[in-house]
Amino acid sequence: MTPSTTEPTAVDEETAAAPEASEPRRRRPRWQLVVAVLAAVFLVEATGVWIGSQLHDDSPGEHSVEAGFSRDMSVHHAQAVEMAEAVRASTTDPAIRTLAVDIDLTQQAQIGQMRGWLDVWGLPPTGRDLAMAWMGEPTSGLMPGMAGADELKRLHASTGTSGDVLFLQLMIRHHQGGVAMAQAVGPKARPEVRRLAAAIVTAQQSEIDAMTTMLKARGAEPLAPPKQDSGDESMPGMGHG
Amino acid sequence: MPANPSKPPTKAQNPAPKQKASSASERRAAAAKEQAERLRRERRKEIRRAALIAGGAAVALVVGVVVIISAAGGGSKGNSIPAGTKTFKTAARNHTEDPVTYPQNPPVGGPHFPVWQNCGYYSSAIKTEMGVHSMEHGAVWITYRPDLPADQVAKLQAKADSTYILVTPLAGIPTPVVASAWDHQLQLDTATDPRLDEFVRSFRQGPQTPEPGALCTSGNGQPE
Repeated sequence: MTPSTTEPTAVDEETAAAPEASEPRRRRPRWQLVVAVLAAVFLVEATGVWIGSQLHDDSPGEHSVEAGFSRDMSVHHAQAVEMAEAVRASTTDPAIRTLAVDIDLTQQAQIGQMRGWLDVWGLPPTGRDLAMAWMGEPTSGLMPGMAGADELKRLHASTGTSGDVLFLQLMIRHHQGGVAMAQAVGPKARPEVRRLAAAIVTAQQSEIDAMTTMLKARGAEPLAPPKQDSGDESMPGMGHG
Repeated sequence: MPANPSKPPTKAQNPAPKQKASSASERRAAAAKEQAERLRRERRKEIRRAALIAGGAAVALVVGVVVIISAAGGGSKGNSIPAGTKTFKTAARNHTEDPVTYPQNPPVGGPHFPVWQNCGYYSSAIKTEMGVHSMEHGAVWITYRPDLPADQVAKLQAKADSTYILVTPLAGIPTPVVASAWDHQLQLDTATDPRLDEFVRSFRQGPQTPEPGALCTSGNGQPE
């Protein structure tokens, strides 16, 4: 077909129409831009929140030293509380009663402290590991220094000076075990856990000394200290005899 | 152009008259129609773009919310409550020295004796109203049928070496072993069911405890 004279006109009209057709393209609605930017910002922020939570979620885990210490020491302390309660009401000796109240309330408060930590860490008081697995000595038996069922029965049944003596003997040995466990919290544990462990070591070592003096004043001797599989001779009050 | 004898010459030689007749108005109409089409295509493109942006924003919103929620919940290392655990809603917790008839056997909560039963293992039945008080203090109360085989009883007794675990025989319970905590109960056929340990882990001094921090010693009874 030969080019007709109408074609240039048609082309002109097309070109004339073209700029009008492209104008809406340049006038993109502002709301689209705003929504797109907000969505992008939100996604970036959400990703940031997630990254932050991954970086900051350094709370002790199920098998950590902190969790094991908190769980085991809570059980260990609970027996000290039970023994102190057993003698507190029945003793006639004010010095023994004061000591019992002191141990009772201090260790019960420390149990609360450790349970609070576990709560914040999102861990239940019951662990999946055996006792003392966190310190390399897993056991399904009693923890160091703890009284057996028969010893507790005797303590609950005893009165007077013999009750005081049995209480002192059991509590000295109990403290020795507690000190060994607290000393097993290594330097890598969280600072607040190390602080409590160190406070337990200091306070209970001092109480061991005081109780040993009271015991000897009543004409009795301490029991054999708890056996230590590790054979660590550096622990005070842990003579092998 | 060589004329084709079979066709009238005027058609091939006179294309102009038809176009000439449609020149002004028809061309404008055609152009306007094209422009209208173009505008409609542009409008559809705009609508698609807007839909894409709105859709993309909605997806970004959902993804972001999911990410934030999973990050927030990421700190929880809690356990799953074992399958088969029943949950109850006990209203009354008052102290009473009268015998109490509980809806469940063993009970899961309710009015109870002012003194709790000391945690540990017992080979004889205890006062249920005291066991309920122990659960108020966070104890897991494991009851077993009096005819439970001795080796299974020994397994339950070993669990009572920990604190806040109460193990006692109880007649008339629906299964050989029943584990209870305040407002929660799990019926088991054997003492070796792994769900028993999961129940203990979920509820021993667990979040259901009405009186957290309370003792399970210094109450009544001497465990064996």
